[in-house]
Amino acid sequence: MGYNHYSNWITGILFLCKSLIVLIYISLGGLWASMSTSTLMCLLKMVPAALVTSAIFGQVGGAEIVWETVHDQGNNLLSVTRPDAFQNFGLTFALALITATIAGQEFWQVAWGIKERELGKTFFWGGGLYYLVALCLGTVGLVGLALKVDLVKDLGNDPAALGPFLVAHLGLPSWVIYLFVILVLSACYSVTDGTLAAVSSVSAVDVIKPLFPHISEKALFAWTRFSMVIAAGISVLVIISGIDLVTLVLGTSIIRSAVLVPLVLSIVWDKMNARAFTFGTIIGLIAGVFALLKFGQEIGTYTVVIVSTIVPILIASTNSRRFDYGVLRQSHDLTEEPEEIPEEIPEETLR
Amino acid sequence: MKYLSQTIPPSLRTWVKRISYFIVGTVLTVFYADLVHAQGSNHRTITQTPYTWQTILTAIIATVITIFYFRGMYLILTYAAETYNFEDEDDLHRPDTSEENNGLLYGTFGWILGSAIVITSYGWGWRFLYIGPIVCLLGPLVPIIAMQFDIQKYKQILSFRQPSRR
Repeated sequence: MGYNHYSNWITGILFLCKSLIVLIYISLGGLWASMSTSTLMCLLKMVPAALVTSAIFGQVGGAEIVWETVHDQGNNLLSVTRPDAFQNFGLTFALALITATIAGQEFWQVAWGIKERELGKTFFWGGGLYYLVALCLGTVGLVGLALKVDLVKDLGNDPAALGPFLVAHLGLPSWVIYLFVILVLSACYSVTDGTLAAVSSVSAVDVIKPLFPHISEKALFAWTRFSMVIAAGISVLVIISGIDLVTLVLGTSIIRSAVLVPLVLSIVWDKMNARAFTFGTIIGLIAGVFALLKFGQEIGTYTVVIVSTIVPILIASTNSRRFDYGVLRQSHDLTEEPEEIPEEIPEETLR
Repeated sequence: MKYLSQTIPPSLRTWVKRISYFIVGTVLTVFYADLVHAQGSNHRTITQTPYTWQTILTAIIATVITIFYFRGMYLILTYAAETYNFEDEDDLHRPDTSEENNGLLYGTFGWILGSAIVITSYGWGWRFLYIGPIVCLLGPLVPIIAMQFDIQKYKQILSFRQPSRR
């Protein structure tokens, strides 16, 4: 009891320190520092992933023993044709990844920061390198299957806890554990970095500046930093709520799936407007959550995508106005001082 | 502390600060992991060794790749800082990139297809399980090569610009 109390205190203090470190890390520098650090994180994700996986295979007797053990368990565990993986995880996660790239503010920020000539290549290789880490660490899942790790008893019903569980329980040397920590933290830091930077710019342009158009640059800067603290605080609340990672990922994936089609329509269809986008996303999300609770992950995902496709098409098809890029060019940047305000830009054209 | 900061080139200062905080965060996490032991430890500890020839070979290749990666990053950051205010001539005469974009589109489908094949191959035999770690280990070669191209470009810009600056 006494040890637990002490342990909880230490956990809390370390948790606070870690949150502060992450915030300081993010608040240092701008896009340049973020990109250069992310380049290093790329190395810190891939090389440790390969080393840790190789060490884990060695520790359990080699890839051959792992493969044979899983194979002998039957149930098509080594086959990609098992439908449950697709229904319970693959479909939603794949859609979420596509949406993340299209709708993620962090990606748009990077896109604006890269020269046009380099943009396609950067995203192409960025996406490609992302695959490699997943292809590597995915094999660790087979080690969990070979050792018959119990999802409920050992992992608290959170399959994402398998990696840390194996690293902590296989009796691996310290250097493997350190590498694993570096691998996980570098992934966390680079994602947090991009996401909180996106939060700061969205709050500056879409919230603070429209509410307080004459705010000074210094005050705006302070508020954007504060918005990062708020976002970090919300993240901490989500973590201490005890929700498991897979449920969290799939939950956010449903929300992201609702944005996918309306956003793509906004880019490619000049009849799309703000009303169609907003109603499409919200109605798709509501219908999807109901379907998710009643029929499960697969039907929930289909519902989100179908409803968020049909609703904006129906609303936008009644829209007689078409989006005019010429008018958009006349609009001014909200973060700049308004030098000359164009005459009555229709709200719909700004979207 | 301030003196220490002065010894670092200005272009690298923010970067070094961020990495320092990353290291502090890593140390704290390891400290926490040591303090609060993993729970539910009912599994017996496996007594094999992680020091197989595969792990040792991976470590050697990883070391070489890491050295080249750090070298490339250092040179890139230094050259980028030096050429920051120079106009990139290539951008002024940018060729039509539609062909390149088509290539990237096909390449993207290649990534998807390739990944699907690799994942499927895990079921074909145990040797295929090493494809993931191998491609992951060799993945940093892409940024290393890209950095090398950029270094060449920066050198060209500097050689073109420096005489006119004097």
